[in-house]
Amino acid sequence: MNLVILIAGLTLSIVTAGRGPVLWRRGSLAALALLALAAPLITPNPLTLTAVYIAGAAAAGWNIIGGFTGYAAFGQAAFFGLGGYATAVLVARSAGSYGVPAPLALPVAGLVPALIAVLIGLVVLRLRGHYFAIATLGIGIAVRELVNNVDCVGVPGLTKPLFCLGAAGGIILPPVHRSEVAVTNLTFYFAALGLLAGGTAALWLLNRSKFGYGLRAIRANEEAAAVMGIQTTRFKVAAFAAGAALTGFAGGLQALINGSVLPDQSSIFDPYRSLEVILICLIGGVGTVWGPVIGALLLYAVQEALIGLLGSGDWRPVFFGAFVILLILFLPRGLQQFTTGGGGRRTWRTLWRNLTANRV
Amino acid sequence: MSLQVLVNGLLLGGMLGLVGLGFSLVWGILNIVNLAHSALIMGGAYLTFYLFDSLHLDPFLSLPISMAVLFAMGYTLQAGVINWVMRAPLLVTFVLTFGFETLFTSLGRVLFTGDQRAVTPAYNAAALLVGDMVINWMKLGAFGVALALTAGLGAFMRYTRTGNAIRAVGMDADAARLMGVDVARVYALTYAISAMVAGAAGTLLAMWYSFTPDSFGIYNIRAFAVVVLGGLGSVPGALIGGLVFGLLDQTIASAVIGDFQLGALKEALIFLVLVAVLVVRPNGLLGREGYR
Repeated sequence: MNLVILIAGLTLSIVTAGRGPVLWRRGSLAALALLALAAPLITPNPLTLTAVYIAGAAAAGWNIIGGFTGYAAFGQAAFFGLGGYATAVLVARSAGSYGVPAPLALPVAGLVPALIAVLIGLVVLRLRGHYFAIATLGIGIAVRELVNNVDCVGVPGLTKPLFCLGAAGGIILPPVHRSEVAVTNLTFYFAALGLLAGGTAALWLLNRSKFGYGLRAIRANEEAAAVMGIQTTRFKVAAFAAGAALTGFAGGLQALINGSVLPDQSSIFDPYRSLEVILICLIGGVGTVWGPVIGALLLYAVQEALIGLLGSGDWRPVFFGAFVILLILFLPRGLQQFTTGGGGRRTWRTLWRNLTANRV
Repeated sequence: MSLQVLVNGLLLGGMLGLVGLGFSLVWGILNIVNLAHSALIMGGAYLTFYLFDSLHLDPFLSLPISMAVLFAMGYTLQAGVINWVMRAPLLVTFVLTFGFETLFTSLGRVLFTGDQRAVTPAYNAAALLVGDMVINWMKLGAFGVALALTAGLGAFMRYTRTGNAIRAVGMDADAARLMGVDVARVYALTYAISAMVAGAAGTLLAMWYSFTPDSFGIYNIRAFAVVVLGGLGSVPGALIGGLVFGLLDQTIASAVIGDFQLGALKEALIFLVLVAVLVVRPNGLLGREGYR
């Protein structure tokens, strides 16, 4: 059932993002909203869709720095994890945490990754291309290792610690509601949906704002942008921080859903996140408003389909790898390319042209 | 720093240099961040294991076999697939190699199973005792092989026509094409050499540590570090990067400040050093642009 919803959502979002008649686009946007709101009634397990929205929102954060600004950041997982840990510190009721209600904690939790991104960005955004890529990759790992090894941090003179990250034990969060699991899951579903919708709206605004034009000017030619009077450093750091905040919100929500943040690699600091956000944007279209939505829907639809076909056994990642390879070979600019093309034969020709375009 | 730590660091560093060498070459010449590198190392390691397990072939003797097999695999991969996206942006080739990494590693999990494997020849534990230092003969041998391969590749790049063609393509592919270099073939050859070195690294690492198909992902990160320290695409740089990394790794792992074991923060500290190097000396510690 989830697969049907994902495919329907994918089709609608492609039409919405396309260049068809205005009426079509508005209509499919309305249908998409309706589908998203009604989906938890149809599906037995809304948590799969929740995961899709969280991944999409995290990818929207990457899209600001990696897509619009053209700085390929390979360490976005750090901000996802920081958002998760910040939420955990605020929400948990153990020593060195604050017991803030989750709805109040989440907005603040986005600020922590943003602030850290400003500090990191001021250093690494001086680098470009490959060097920026490796630096962010290194920072992604360094942040995880640091967080995973810190227990309590205090201020001299204060008896109680400022915050505790639990080192190897992580932080266990109290349950969000006392009510039934189904109600909790529904709350998470709508929170994630709201986050993705908000993230997409933010990209839409960015796309037509002066700030967004500045970022795209930097992507096209940083020297020229500087000559035109764009404060490139300020713009880049702001984009890095904004992206980190959005990804951090997603991480915060994920922490609430998991009910814990652990130093384990498969927990909140999962390094695969760094790749996933890039993959999602590549599938949907890098630097586009709808790219993260389309990419997340397709990526998870493929994963759902593979689970349906192969179970969750060892063969699944084999096919996933093959899918990624084929996608990159035939659709390197993502699905959005289809929205401008026609059907049938022209589509095959598009695929062939994509394959041969970058050959040596 | 005790002498033992120094020796351990140098031995480990030589291996890491070899791990980084192929990665650095592909990145420097082909402009590809090759995430499939770890999977190629895995290939070399499992080939060695199966040759040792079924035919009792000494791991040092299986070295040429795994190098040849990986060379052929690398050539096929580059000529057959990666050459089709060579002019696409960095992100595209990056995700393509991620696809290969996922494909190969998960295929490895299916074919080789997740059982812990180790290659343990009879002389496994034999060690050279110098003063109060213990130096494992096998590790010393692996270190020697790593040095010899690095030196050999460095000489190949510098003194042969093919090596010069590879360097020329790395400097300016279009100009090299105008000079009559078959760029597509050079790309395939470069990737094949990188895979060959990865295969050798896999064989040597199989003696060093026990492993599963999932043990190799870490070597991509190690290779990154070596490239940062040594400079992109530079053969001697990879060795120096590896040695620096090895020393750094072992020093931090054994350091104790007060009652705090610095080893717990090892990865974080190493990468903070890396980022500092990147910002201060983006072309590596040697400060030259390697072969670019």
